[in-house]
Amino acid sequence: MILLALLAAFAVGPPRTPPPHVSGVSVTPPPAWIDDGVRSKWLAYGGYCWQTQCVDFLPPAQRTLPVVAVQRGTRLTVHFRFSASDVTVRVGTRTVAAGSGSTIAWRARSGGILDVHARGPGGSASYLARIRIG
Amino acid sequence: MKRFAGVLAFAAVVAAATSASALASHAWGTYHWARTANPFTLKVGDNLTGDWPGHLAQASADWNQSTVLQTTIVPGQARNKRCRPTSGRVEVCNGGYGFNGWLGIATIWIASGSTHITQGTVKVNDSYFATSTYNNPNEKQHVMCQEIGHTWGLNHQDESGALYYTCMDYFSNTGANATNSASTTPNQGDFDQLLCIYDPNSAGRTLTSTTSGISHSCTGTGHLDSTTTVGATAFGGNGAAEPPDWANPSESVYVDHLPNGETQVTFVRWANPIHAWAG
Repeated sequence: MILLALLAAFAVGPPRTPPPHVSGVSVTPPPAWIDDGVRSKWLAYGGYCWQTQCVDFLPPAQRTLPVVAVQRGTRLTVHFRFSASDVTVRVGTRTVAAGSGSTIAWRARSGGILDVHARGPGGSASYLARIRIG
Repeated sequence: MKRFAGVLAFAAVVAAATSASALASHAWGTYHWARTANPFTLKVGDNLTGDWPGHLAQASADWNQSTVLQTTIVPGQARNKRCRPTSGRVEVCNGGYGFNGWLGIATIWIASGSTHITQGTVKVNDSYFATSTYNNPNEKQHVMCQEIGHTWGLNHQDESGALYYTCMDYFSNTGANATNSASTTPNQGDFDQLLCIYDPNSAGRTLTSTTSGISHSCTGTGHLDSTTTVGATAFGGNGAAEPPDWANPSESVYVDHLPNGETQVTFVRWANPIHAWAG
């Protein structure tokens, strides 16, 4: 019990900044965030069909994305605010993790565009960032 | 034996890595237009300017290769780029919606307590399509074809950015790929998916196809309905696609129970624009 309390006390929470906002849309999936064990950051929205709206964005390479700079081997965790199924995590063209649940984790081996695709109760959604290995 | 099993496992990994397949199904949830017979014809309102009408005409003709869904282009009733919906049909609009990160949006309205689409709108964002990067015929055709495809009840076949030979993929017709037209039309997987959604004769059957090495499959769930939302006027046409002006910034979800029995669910994330991540 004490161990669980300690773990909770030191767990990295969601960012204190406001979650991402997309102008001109009326529906967004719940925002997702990433942590490296020390800091956390909101992920940008990629394309989604959620509830009653499909939103199609510019290609990730042509967008300004949040940057996550980490050391090689750092454990990264993405947190969803829903129970996700069919989660796929790609960095560049490589699939680095797959699974289901409210979180998914992997160890950073290479940099590139992070594309997390998940299905949830509202539909399917993608979340994006740029991973930099320092 | 152990070595043989290892070889088999390796072969399976190689096979998985070298063959591409689309999502097993790319239906948008279980949303569909209610209708009492097939094929059915959806009216698509043209509110477009510039060269967009030509792209809509081409996309309409391409989707009309379907054996279950037909589209016909009619004069638009959306008035302006806010793209007011019209009951029983799809309104298609273009405009400078700002450099907000998105190229196109498709919105549908659902009859309360059902999964029946009652109306839809499509917006394509000229803020980007007026720039040299996106102002090319293939990119415009790709986005137009995809957005109206969403309003039939379709999701994406793939979202990785790879070429899946369908307008329901995320391949980008920009830069070196600007002249590539391979993702500007629906493919057999899309037509199969429409059958899986709408055709009772395909119910329970698995339809499979392969387009340029990309496989697609879906299992039919189609049925006919006792009523129709196609062309129906019962739901009115003035549902608000945008958050209402009176919206309380501290709230994030609005559920409007419209007088006609329809439910409009709007999820809003209000934030300081300085924190906007899209784009």
